[in-house]
Amino acid sequence: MTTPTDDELIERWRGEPAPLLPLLHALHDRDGYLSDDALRHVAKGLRIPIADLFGTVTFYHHFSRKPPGKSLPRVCDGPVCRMRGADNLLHALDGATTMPCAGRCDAPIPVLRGDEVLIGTRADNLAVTPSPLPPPHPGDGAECVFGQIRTPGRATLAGYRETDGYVALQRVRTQMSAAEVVALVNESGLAGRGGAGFPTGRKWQAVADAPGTPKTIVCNADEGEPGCFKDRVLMDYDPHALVEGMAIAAYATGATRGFIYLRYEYPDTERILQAAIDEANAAGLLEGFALYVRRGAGAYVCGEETSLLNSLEGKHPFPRNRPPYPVTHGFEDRPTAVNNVETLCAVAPIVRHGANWYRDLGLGEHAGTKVISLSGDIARPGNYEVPIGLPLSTLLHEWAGGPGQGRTVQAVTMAGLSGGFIAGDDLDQVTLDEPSLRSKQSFLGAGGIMVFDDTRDMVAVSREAMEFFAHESCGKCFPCRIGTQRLTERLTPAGGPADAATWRAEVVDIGDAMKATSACGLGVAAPLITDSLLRYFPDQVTRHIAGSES
Amino acid sequence: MNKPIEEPAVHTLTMDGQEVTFHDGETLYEISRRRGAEVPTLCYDDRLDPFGGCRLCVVQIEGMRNPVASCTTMATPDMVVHTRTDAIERHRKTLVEMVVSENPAANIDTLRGSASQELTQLRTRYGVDGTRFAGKTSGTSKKDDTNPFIFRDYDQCISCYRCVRVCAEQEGDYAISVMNRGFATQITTEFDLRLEDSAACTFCGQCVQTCPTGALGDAKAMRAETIDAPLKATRSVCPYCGVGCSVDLMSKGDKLVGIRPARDGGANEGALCVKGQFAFDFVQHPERLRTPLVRDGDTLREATWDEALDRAAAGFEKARREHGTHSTYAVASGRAPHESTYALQKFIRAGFGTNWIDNCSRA
Repeated sequence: MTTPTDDELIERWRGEPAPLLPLLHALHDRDGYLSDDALRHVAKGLRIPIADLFGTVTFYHHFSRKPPGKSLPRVCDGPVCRMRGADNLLHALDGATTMPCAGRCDAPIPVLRGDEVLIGTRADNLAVTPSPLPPPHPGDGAECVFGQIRTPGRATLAGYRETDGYVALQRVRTQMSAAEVVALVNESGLAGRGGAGFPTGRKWQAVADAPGTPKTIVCNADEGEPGCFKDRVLMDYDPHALVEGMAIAAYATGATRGFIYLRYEYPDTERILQAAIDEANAAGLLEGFALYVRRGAGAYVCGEETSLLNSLEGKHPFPRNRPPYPVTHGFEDRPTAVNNVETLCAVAPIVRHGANWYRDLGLGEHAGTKVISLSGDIARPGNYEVPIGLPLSTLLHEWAGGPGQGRTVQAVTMAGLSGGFIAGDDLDQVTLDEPSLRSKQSFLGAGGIMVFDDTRDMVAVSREAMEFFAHESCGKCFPCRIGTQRLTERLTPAGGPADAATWRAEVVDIGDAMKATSACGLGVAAPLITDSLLRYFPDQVTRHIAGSES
Repeated sequence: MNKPIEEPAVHTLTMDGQEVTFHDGETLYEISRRRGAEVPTLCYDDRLDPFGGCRLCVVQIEGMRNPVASCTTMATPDMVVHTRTDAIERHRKTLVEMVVSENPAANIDTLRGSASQELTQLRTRYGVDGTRFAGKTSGTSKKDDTNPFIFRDYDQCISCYRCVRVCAEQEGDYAISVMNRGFATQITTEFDLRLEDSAACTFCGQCVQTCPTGALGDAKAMRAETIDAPLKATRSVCPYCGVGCSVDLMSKGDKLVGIRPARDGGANEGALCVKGQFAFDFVQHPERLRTPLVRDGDTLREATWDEALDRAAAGFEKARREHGTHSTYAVASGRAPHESTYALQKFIRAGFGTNWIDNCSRA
């Protein structure tokens, strides 16, 4: 096989929708990096100003600009992997650099080398290992998205069909109007499981009602939140559930095209998704709905839906100003529903079992379930599908076996890192639902919970969290761009003012301005880390500042 | 018959306790400015699409949890808006302190550009002394970019991207863009080349004139920083072509030190080209022609206008006599306005009896 030229690759992609990222990946895969020449050709071929293209490429931390580039190992330095020795692994591997949390917190430490994800804790035990299945369901109630995920062969079309696969799509297409599908989803209480919690039925209704075609379904599979690895397991073991959910969403909204925007760190998942789409297409299941996988290139902010849309369109991935919202002005300014993987995976079971079935899966007044990615200092880490409203302590101690022998839980994060910490008495009081968590100035978000036992230095954990936000801040708005940097510095030993009152006043004022004025959720959420650190761990903060004096 | 122009619908909202009328499509920031509310901003330029980056223009809308950026928020009927609550002023002060902290202290001479004092003015307004939030600085100056026009002092950059946006949206050059992200963000050309090596930069200088901190400076004007005299602006029209761009001639004492495009210039609205912006050294050049010259043999000597015009007329006469009516060909300058070009063709057609007239803009 001959190596394709730049021109051949440009020809291959130029006519496709959302061509920039796949074209850049094709060149990156071919050369291991993106050369000046290749970028000049792309700029010309896709008619993008070269300065813009160059700037946009530098935004993504997985695009290398010099050889050998792509083949060098990237070691996850997410919070859990750091606890498991990521630093030692980093130094043991030649040419290795770090990458933010790569979504394997249930089986650390992932090392990305080329398109392989190796798992291990030392240089000599790294091996390609499939992602872990969810542990057996410990709860009394039924599961929704995990209902069939443990059935062997479920990822194939044949296996999926044996377990009621595509029954819902068939039923929708033959027995229901689009409006009835929207009404059913509305009744079920299904809401955005990526963290924003917007009612899914209302979003679909808005897209269906919006003028302009073609309409688009975008699946947000850019699972970049540290401590979150739920979408990965759904896509790896139940890819057809996502494809079916998207096809139903397309039917309900009138969309004729769809994209799955997948984070770069899941190369195996990309192959699994593409195989599922190919199978579904070959079986004629997606007629009238063109579905594409687009791979990101390393940018947490692309999980923000408007950044994601800019990224898909080949633009600089800054968040857009809203309104207008994607439901009217989304991909290429046309009506677009952006839904999370877990949300879409819940759709087919809801159609099969009914709105009430789903609604009743939640506890009390809460509707439905949420997958929690649980990791850190906990006996049985993994993905758990919990009824919304489950007490946090039940999940930690009854479902997942509690912290290690002789240890106590000092704190957990919420929403990955974005919800800050829950600690102290609140650990026994909160339930896993937004009203309860909001009352503690936190939120459930995408459902990542990392556990820190009583041996952990919470100031150090906070610094690592803030380093992540600073690394991922896009640079569009002042409060986030400068604030994440300044908070990181103040959490660093000998960083910031030595006087305790001055230190606290600076950290509080920066956080308040970020929460009140940031342009997107990244800047609004990041100071929840420092807020909750100050609230729960004032003594550790005092010691940190005192240490800064010496 | 012409259709009557449709008046846009007029609505009302409440801003700072007063009822205000507005048209569909107006933003809260535009309304606040119209009312003289002095909402601060650093990323706003009224010629550009609202960006919402600096967040200084946030206002509180009753019924909404968080403040919103007024520059990107469209007014809707019956909104109740507060442009200046205690909480909002506190956040604004914090934001100014944060943005001041990202750059080393410097005195920015007003010669750097039209907008160069915007950050300095906000520092004064909010009483920010630059001591809070000390930490790493964000910019990297391009000292190796030695082009004679645009001084790239990115130590003073605050990443508002007005330069990038004016280059794209106003000039259509897309010569500069945003590199990296977060606190590591830098303004760049393709492959971080010098401006003169970039294929797209035309050195129009619009990036300089919109920069609110002096991170981009008018390198030619900055030569006059050491002249100890007040800076004076005199409105004029650019002499380079027939477009008629309005300019402010910037002078110190009797010396012309720089040119600024007039934002209120009907023809240019703040734009200029490289010639109008930067090519003014001829005005006070020692070798500049000050009188007509006539040639005696091989030497040129100063002459009066009468003598010079007589010489020219005699030359035309001689050419006509020896080579005929169509021996004269006139090319009007592209720098000339319509009226002068019209006069020239009249002069050639009626005076010389030939149609050999053209304009350099055709070439």
